[in-house]
Amino acid sequence: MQTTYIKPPDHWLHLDFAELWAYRELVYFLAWRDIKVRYKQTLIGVLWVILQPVLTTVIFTVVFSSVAHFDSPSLSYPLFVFSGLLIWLFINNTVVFASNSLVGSSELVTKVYFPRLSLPLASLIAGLVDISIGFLVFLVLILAYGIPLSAHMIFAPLFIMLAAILAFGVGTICSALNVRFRDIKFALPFGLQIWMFASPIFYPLDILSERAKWAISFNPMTGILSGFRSALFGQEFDWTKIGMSIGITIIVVLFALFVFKRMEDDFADFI
Amino acid sequence: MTIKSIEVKDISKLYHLGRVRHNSLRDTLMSLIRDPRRDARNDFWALKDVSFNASPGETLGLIGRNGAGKSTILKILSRITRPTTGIVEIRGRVVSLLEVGTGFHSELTGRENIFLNAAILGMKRAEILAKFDEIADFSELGKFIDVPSKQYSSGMYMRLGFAVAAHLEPDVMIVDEVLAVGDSAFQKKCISKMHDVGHSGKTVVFVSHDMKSVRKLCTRTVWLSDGKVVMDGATDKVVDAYEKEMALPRVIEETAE
Repeated sequence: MQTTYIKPPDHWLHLDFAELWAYRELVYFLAWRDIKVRYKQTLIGVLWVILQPVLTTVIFTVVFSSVAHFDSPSLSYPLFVFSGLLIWLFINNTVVFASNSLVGSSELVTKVYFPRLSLPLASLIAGLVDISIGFLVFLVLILAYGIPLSAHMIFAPLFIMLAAILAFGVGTICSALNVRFRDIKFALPFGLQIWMFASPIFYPLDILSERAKWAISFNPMTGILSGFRSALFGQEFDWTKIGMSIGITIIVVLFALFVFKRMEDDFADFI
Repeated sequence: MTIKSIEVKDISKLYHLGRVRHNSLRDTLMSLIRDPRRDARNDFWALKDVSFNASPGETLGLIGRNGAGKSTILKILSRITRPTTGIVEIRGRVVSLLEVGTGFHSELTGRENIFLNAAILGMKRAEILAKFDEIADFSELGKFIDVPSKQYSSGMYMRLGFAVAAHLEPDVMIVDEVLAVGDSAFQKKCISKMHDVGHSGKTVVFVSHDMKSVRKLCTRTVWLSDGKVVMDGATDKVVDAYEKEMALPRVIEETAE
């Protein structure tokens, strides 16, 4: 028979991944709940997954291509924007849902024990389901545009995974902070907006000055978008940018786990 | 000596009353790194050096006035919060029923909520599938099982919640008296279920203000006051002493009820 020891918090970065794994079915059920509930009482349901990036692409194309005359080298502008938005909306939505995952489930947190990390993790998985659907639709779109299939495309899901890890990291930090400081709810939309404009989603890097390019290379989105687009459109990978992204993403996730672990024992007392 | 299923050893729980104030982002960030257990001005010990244990087959009652620390003990035993000092050892699968229907989502149907609730309370998918029909029958929801639960009456909601809880088969069951709200038929169902669990070699920890159910259900009782154990022993003896003490200053309130 298994013995459970309930001890004072130890405050060291000691994450119980084995326990999280033991609770994987709960994570699955929470993700399933999030997906089910998200589209209940909507008319077109899961179609929103596709409509969101499509409509945003239309808006951005009209504004930035027709009005501001942005252009993307060797690629149709709508495809350029759509590929960026697919990743961005995934990160944006995951961070938003994850940041609310603990506070939104306060009833659970104060009544039942389970690894608290299950909640932001479930938000991530729900987001992954969304982007998988969006990605498949996008592949069809690419082929319709006459972009040839290339071996590079196999790597595209890897960049989605990198985006997923980044979104999980940022979402986890926000979820933990949101328990103590509800300011997060108000600050997050601004933060995300700044992050979006600081990412090469609807503009190519070439239009930036050297200094801006240097600054933006610290944004992990830069390498993720660059890699994702190279994979999809059969271009050369820019390993410096990608390596930078991987490095920063790892730092973000480690920091997120540290913050989460540091705060999680008090969640039930503060939420 | 038999192996205890619950051993509570010298646990204390400190709460900081009021909000921790952070004047600047720097303070806030620093407090993430620093030990939070300082600033003694608003400290409150909800529990102080509490020890007790329970053996398999025992139904242990926890009694005491409001604020005596009963809920804090339940929260620690359910692992919702951790003790400040001390240690608790629990053997076997623990299920705590601090509230029926935890994690229900009103947009989901009864069927969906059974799966979600059971998973939250620690059941595996295969187990839920195997017991689903039994749970659905127990809930007496009939064709309403596929209706979104926001359309349920509160009675239906509770029946569904209890149906799941009743099929968990824990080794240790932690029950708060909030479980015993609702109509008397439902209460009887809860009580008889707990009785069954207690008699099948499992351990039940039961918190209540209702001395009648404590006398009926509990083999042993722990009386708490101001975060400390006042008395620990046979239920009749402890409850007698407790009622005697309670009767002294509160005679008028009791009779007025």
